[in-house]
Amino acid sequence: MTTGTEAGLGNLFGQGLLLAGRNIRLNSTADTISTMVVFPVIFVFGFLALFGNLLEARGIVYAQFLPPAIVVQWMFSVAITAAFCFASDRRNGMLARYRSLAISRGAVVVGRMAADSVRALLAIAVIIATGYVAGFRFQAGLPAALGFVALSVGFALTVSAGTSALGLVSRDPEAVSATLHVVYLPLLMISSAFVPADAFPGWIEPFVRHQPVTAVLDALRALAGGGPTAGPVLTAVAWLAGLLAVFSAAAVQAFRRAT
Amino acid sequence: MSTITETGLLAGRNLRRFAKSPQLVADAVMFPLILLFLMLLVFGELVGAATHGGRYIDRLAPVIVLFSAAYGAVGTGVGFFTDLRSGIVDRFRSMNISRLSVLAGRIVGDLVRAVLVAAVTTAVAHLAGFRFTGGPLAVLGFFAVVALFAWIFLWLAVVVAMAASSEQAVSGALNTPVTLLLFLSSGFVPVEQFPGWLQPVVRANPLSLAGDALVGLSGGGPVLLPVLFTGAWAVAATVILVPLAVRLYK
Repeated sequence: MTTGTEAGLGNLFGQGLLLAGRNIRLNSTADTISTMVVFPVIFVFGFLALFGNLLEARGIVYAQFLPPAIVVQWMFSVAITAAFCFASDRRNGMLARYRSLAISRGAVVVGRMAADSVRALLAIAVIIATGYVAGFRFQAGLPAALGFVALSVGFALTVSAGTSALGLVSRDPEAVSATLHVVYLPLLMISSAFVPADAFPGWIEPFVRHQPVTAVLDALRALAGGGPTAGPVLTAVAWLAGLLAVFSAAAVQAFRRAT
Repeated sequence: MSTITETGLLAGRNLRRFAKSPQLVADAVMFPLILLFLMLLVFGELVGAATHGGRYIDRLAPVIVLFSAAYGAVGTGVGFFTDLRSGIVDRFRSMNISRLSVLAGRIVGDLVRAVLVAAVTTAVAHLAGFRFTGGPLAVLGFFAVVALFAWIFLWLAVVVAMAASSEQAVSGALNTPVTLLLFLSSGFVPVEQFPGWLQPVVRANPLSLAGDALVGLSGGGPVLLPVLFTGAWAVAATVILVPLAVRLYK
């Protein structure tokens, strides 16, 4: 890597990957294993044990239905970690330090996105492997399975752009992650994540059916289980593109102002 | 000063520190309440249909009360760990007070907190249809069982706090068993809904037993056996964890 320069694509990615390594190493191994391996496994088997029989009675194969929901849950968790890291980097002066260095500014963003992608991929691998033990299968071939992974990571990065904007505005990582937990939990639970939309009380069903988390879940389930995929995937991608446009604009603004 | 006065003073300190932190209060009170309403919304119809018209809130509110008591113990562990590392415990030790008051103050303060949080949770659950139908004595019994249940997890939390090497390790080591117990309990769905081989685990889970006791004491149902079994768990925890905590503390 050439030193002393800020511009250039080579620097953007070279330095970005360097920062990604730093971001990943920030979380201790024990912590990463507990949050990215142990907990997803507990959640897959826990929800199966709890609600498997109830939903089988409604004709839903829960082992096939559930893993995409746990994937989406962990994509949220990756995004909340991103916000936490940005807020603590801002509090302890690391962001200001980056500015004083002769490195590409975009590298800070690339570093965050690469670290998020790695964590997202790890979570997806763990959840899918656990799902396979429980009876989950990719039934629509390799391209659809890769589409599943790509859409999941895309979802993580989109949400991460939004949460990062919040993290960059704040200097209090604990408060940011507490706030985001309060926001994400209803968004996830009041979607088709754990039960199908028609199991909700009638008054809230329209919201459940038309909110973006449900759109992403429908697409993931279509990619995993086969059946018509084009419609759900297009809807999900349209949602993500729209959200990404808004979130990244906010994140860029916040990043420019953050000192 | 007697040990009891010292314990009271130190318990007061812990309670005030809790009450003055909006984040701790929000975490202890808001999170269980959000979970209560979300579970009701998402699973109310399904579980209601499976239990033939049984009201989900009657079962759900007690389990959320117990969950917040167990989950609150994570805060106890982290708080005690911070006290140990920040030097305040060493400062207390250098003072002319009984050494055990510090430990007792932590437990008593957080027991009071657990009961207060339970009172707030049941009050809010009242809005969702939760009712005490057994009279004042049953209400007292309800909160006594909550305290008994919290007792188990508070001692677990202080033992973990003294054995752990980092704050993350404390919350990790406590969050995992609490989450497992919550999933594998009869709180969210009746025990018959679990796979057969898991049912014995679900039945023996202290969260299921204390949950049954709370359901009996609020909405009606068997009380004596679940209370006795919860008591057995508390006795077992006392016999194992209290001497361990005292030894680690010394």
